[in-house]
Amino acid sequence: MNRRRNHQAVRWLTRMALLTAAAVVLGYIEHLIPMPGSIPGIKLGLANTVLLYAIYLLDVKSAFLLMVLKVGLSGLMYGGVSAMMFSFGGGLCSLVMMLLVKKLGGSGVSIIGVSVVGAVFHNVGQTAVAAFMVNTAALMGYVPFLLVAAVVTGVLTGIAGKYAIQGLRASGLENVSMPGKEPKQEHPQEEHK
Amino acid sequence: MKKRDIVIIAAVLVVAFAAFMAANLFQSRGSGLEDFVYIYVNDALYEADPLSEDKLIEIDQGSGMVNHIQIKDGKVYMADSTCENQDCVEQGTMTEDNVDTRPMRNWIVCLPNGISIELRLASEETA
Repeated sequence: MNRRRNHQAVRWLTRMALLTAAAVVLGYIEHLIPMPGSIPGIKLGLANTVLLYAIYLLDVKSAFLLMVLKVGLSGLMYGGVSAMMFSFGGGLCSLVMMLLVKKLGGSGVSIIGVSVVGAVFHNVGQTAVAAFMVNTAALMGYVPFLLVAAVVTGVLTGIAGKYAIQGLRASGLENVSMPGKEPKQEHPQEEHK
Repeated sequence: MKKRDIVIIAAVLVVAFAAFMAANLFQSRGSGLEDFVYIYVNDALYEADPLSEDKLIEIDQGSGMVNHIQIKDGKVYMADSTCENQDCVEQGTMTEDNVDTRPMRNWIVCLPNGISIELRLASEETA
């Protein structure tokens, strides 16, 4: 039994390392994609596909750990301290709401809906952090633009996440939970159009 | 895409529209007969200058945080900033005519250095 647990621990560790690397790289690639319009702070949110993966195929603790690792590493490498604070506010808000919506929404909500909620609350979290730092009135006029952008980017990352998860499941790479936990039995529901 | 996905998306769009209308209603009003540029550092008013007088304002907060704000020919913009993302510089120029169409309206904001610039138009002043 002990050996099996070790095996599971190693699998979990490598999986987390890979996912963290993927999230950091996706976050970096995003900077290189020019976004339409001149609204600062709007990006695709590709790194969120990693969190979607974690929410659907791993467990809650692993998802939180991934978020913290991604924010911390990206901040150290190219963001700076203030960027790290914004990302953390956004990441925490986004992850909590995605988990809530997935749980409460049940089978009525697909990964696309969860992704949109993640994108919206990522922006809400960042704006909340920003409101502590600068003039609030300036930010409020900015919120509607952020929300509309979040719907668009949320749908896009949701679709990307859906296919990423499908591909990873097909390759047999799934259900690696934190050591000591039973692997998740649940699978993301297939889309019915 | 399922039914509740659509509900979520619709709800977000409704909130966005409401926020847009609210922002329009509660836009900050001017307080003089002249267009004024208000500069805030860490949410406190730093100085206010008329838009009509050319001026270069330097804000040096120490520890390498320096911003230059230029008022020139009825325009105001962040000339340069030591922040890492340069969003404030990219937010461009505000004039009397373009504040209604800019995404951030009558504001230029530098989050990393905690500086915001508000353009208050005399024409915006109502009762």
